[in-house]
Amino acid sequence: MSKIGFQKQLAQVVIDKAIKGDMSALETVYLTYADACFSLAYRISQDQALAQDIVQEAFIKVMNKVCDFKSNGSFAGWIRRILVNETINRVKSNNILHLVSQDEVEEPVSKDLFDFNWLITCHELDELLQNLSTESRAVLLLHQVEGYTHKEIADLYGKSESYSKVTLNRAYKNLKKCVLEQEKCNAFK
Amino acid sequence: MHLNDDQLLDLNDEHKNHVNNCELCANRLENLKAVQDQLNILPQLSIPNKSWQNLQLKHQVSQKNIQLVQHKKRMQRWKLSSLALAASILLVLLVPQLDDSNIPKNDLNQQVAELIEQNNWLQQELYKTNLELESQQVDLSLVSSQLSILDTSIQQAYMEQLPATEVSKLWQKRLKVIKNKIVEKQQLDKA
Repeated sequence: MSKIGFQKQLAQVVIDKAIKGDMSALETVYLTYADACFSLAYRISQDQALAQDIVQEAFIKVMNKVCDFKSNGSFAGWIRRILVNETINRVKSNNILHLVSQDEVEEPVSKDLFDFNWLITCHELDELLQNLSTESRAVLLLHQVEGYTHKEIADLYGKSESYSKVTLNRAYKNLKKCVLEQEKCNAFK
Repeated sequence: MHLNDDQLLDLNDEHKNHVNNCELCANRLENLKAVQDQLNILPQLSIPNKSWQNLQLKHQVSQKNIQLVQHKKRMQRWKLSSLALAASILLVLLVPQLDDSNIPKNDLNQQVAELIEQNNWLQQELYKTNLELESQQVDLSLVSSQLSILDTSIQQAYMEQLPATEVSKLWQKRLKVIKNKIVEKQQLDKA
């Protein structure tokens, strides 16, 4: 199966040329990761124009900073980090992100979130994700899909790790609720 | 005691041991993994208007803006250093200790004062016109370092109370450096 998104890997020779500022290598970098960047920015912001703008800004930063890239890490991971920082900063400044206050963080402990695989029948996951708040969606996608740790997410928001954990739990609860409501609606059709 | 959802989402070694020995929690973990798998197969979206040319243009504009900011900073520094230099020279000029020579002292002082004025004015003009967007940008780093060396020499000359003719020569040398750069820039603009 061919790799998609940030799992795609570029040849080392392309990365080396890009670091030296070679424009055709940078074009290859852009064409390889633009869709992955857009997918993540759009899924978090749910705003197509904003997501396009975020991708452009992120790539301009990539082009300006590529000479500083340290080869000991993953190049795709480095691009993703720039994109995620840009996305979170933009949604924050556009007031799309409403961070929960510390007193909201207290949640009752649950044990029934994964008592069955409630996502198995869902065919419109992207649509259902729109029902989550921007912060829930961001934490869910960053932690569960992109592999960010709670510590990394906490650093992004300038919050504690427990903020990230609670937001993730809340995201799953809301997603489950949406899935079950959708199933109920479909059953009545 | 079974694991709660938070523990299931953030397994440590102790929790893993529990899952290995608890069928219920193992099932819940399987369900969580299945949900995660579903999230991981979300299709990749295509960016509308994927254009490398547009990005390159925006990048060029951003580079230009960065250069402009750097030029402005440099000009600000120069303004400050020119002011400092002018102030220190003024101070020395106020103390009439310049060397006697064939030219009357007042004439020499007048000549030096005019040179200083010309230097300051032309230097500011050079940096100002180089900032204008429509004009050709020239690299001022070399001229900046040349002027910086000359400024040190001028200051030294005043401190060591060298003859006014020597001081005047240094100012003329400084003026020449600026004028040469202005001519170079004008030729570039014409081209």
